[in-house]
Amino acid sequence: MNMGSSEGVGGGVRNANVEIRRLRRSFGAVDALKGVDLTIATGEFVALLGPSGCGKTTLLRCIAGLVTPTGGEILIDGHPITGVPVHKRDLGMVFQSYALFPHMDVGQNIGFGLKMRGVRGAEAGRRVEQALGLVQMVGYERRYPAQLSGGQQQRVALARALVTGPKALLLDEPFGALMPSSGNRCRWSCAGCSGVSG
Amino acid sequence: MRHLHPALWAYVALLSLFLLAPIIVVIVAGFTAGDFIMFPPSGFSLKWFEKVLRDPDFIRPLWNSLRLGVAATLVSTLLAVPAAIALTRGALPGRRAIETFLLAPLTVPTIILAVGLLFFAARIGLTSSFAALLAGHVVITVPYMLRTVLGVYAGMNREVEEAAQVLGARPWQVTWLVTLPEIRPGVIAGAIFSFLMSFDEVAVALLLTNSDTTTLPVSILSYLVYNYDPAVAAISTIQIAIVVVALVLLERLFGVKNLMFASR
Repeated sequence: MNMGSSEGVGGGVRNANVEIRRLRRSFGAVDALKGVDLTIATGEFVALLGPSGCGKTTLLRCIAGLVTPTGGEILIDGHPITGVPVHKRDLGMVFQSYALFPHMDVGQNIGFGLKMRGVRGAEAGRRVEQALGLVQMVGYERRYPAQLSGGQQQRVALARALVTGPKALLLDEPFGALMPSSGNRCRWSCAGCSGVSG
Repeated sequence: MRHLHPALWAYVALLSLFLLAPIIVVIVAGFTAGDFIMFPPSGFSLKWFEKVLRDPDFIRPLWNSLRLGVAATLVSTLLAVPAAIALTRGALPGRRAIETFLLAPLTVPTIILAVGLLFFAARIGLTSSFAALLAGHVVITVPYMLRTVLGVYAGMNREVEEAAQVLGARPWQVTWLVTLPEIRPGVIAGAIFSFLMSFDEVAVALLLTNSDTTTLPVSILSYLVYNYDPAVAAISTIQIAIVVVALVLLERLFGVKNLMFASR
């Protein structure tokens, strides 16, 4: 079931467990999260289902660090990460809007996380190529996001999130735009991740 | 362009004529062989261009104006772009008030601004200095830069910055590698406006310059007071040519591609 390789080469997810304890988040008078408890075992894939506005995205954003919880704790591999800044959490996230960098081509988009980690040159190229292969987008390196369909954009976003070998993969509304044919392969890939999707 | 209604066609033609006619008259009048500004001109000659280009009373102000325009554009870029980023991003206390304050010079007539600036500059002993003139033009140009950058930044998908953070980008890397490239169309549009505003600004320059620091619009104005010869038309034509060349260059360098990104 688990395809994430330990060194996280080209699209694996490093195994890590995620523990959420009594997580709270309020926006003014509205409680988006009221004491959420959730444990995700290493290699486990969890889907959060619920009507819109029920706090799925807020939970994902808390784990990523984009939203600061009002209370409670998040632990990855037993270490509390609530005080860790977003860029040091080493997670992968696919946004609902995909959030690809419009001014970068597909290759640069996928290579961004590698560049931030100091991976350059041939090694970076190899891993980008591998990630492109995983989402069946080989040959699209020089295209810009605006030149891709929604499904293609989403696959690029997935490759971008996976290429650094994150500890966990967060997918916001993940399967909306994937085309059935490409979906099978991606779905299989994701099934192996220790991840949360909402 | 295809299937344009004839009435709309006529309207566009009329409007273009209305906008372009004064400019065309000035340009054509500059090439006259006669000694007075007239339209149509009497004969064709480049003598007025020759006179103007040899006249330090026009060439020095021309350089002053170019230097001032470029300096005002650079300074207002350095001031307004970080301001726009801070105003858009954070929970800055009183951000509405700050934004209104920074945009306020747009609502003040420049002559009022110029008088205020003159008193202030006199108080601190800076009248007729390039610094005082530059400060005045920066006050005028900052709102244009701020407005265009705020507009482009507001239209940007902010999740892109968050994606960069999640991918490991430090705050300065997010700004440098993602935010700035994304808002570049706004910065370029703001720079064009800023330069044009400074390049033909009269009121502040009129009060804050002396014969050494005078700008082109001021020197044209003071020349017109005593003379009515085609030299003015010739120097105006040169001014128009500089602006057109600058616009075309910017459009070629940054225009098409970035406008495409801006519309996303």
